[in-house]
Amino acid sequence: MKKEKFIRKINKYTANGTPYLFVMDFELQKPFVCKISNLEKNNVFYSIKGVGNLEQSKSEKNIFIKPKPLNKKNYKIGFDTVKSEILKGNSYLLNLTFPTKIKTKNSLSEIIYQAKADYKLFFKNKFISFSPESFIQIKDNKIYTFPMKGTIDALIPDAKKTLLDDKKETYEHNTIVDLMRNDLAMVSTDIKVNRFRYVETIKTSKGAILQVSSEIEGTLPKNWKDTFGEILYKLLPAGSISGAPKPKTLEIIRHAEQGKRGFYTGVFGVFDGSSVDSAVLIRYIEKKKQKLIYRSGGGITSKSNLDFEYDEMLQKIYIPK
Amino acid sequence: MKLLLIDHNDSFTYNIVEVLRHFTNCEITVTTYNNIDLNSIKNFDKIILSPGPGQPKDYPNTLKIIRDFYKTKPLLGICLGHQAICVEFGSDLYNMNDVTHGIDKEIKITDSSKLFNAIPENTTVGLYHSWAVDSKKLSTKISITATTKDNTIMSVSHKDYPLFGIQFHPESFLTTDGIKMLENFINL
Repeated sequence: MKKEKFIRKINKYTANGTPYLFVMDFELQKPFVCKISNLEKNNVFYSIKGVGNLEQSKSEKNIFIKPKPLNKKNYKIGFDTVKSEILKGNSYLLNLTFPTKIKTKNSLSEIIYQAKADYKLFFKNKFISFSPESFIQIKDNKIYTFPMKGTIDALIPDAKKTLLDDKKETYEHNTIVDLMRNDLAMVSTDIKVNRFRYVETIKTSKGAILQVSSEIEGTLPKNWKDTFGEILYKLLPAGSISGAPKPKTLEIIRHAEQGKRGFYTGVFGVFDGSSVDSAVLIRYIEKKKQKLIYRSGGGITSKSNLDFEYDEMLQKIYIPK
Repeated sequence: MKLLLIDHNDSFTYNIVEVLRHFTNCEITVTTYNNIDLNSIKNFDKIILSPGPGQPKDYPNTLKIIRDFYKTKPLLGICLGHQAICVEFGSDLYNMNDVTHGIDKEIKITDSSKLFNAIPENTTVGLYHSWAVDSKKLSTKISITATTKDNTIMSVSHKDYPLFGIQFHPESFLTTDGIKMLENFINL
């Protein structure tokens, strides 16, 4: 679908109060929009905070995945490129990601059925995402975003304090908050940071982890439903999975990662007839030539350490339960 | 009052716009660097040069605008914009050992500046920079008006004209008195 057609459809459905689901890839080349009533026909299933056409499994079944991580030497090439660009002043924060081959006995549909997350999407048996990260929410004419930055193993002694006191994490979070304030200010006014660095626990197949987020709010123009397609394009790709300043940082990402991300770190969302809720497509598995690939990564700043970032990328390869 | 905000492809530009929206006497036009029409600049009353990636030498038109207009229009450079002003007035930049991205620091106002009207001598600001201004070759027409504890130059102003540079980000939520500083510039 072309950009213009996508925007036209989104604007029409939103203005008319027609419920729909949209999906957008990181490169903004494959926009998808579909009325909620036609999702099954298109082999698309979703659940947002328990609501949707994708059921949650009632019996707990452990899903085992065996990652075959990218060699640290290869990770280092990308990492060093990014670090030198940051020191040169071309980026303040960059989200560096890589694909990891995984082996499992389970299919994409079995995994998405078991995985527990606020935002779940099964897309045409091509990829699944069980994302904890909200992209934007719109209620009445208020728009909210919840950038997530900072992760720690919950079992580490004093995990919460360690995470919140960590200087590198704080600086990185500051940057993402300023970036998302900017992005909301492109489409709305009266920008406020409602909550700064709040901590949530996520259960995973490997144990619990803590994640830090902030909440930012803006006020949309009264007629936002007539122009929601344009609003979406202005906000994409999402700041939390690209970095700042965005245009130059995207250029460095293309160079450092060497391949397209596709739908990974894109977004999906649902308009239910009056409100919008949406997620960043992270915690993501795709099917490529019958093989499964888990994609993950993390924010790189001037203070980032190679081993730590590499470990964080691997730590994010999990199935939430 | 017509204000031109030149956006050096930055991702904090609309944080500046958001602050300026509160001043009803200010009509804002945002132009990205690549779309600058040098002939239209004369139609504006004041100019703000945004932050941005890279170095001033990557933005020759910004250096030209400073050169052509600093005597006739109040001009405020933020981060990269500040560095552009300093470079235009002779200074070199140096790559910092300790890059400060997303860091809040206290600065000390060392010389009076209309930009710092009614702002305490010590105030906290948000920083996003890996280059800083070297004072060695800086023109004697430029005064340094604020520094950090480790003597990094945080702001400058021209001795004769309303030309201001600030290394920190007044639009950042990390900067305590940022709104007041921008208000001071608007009310010049």
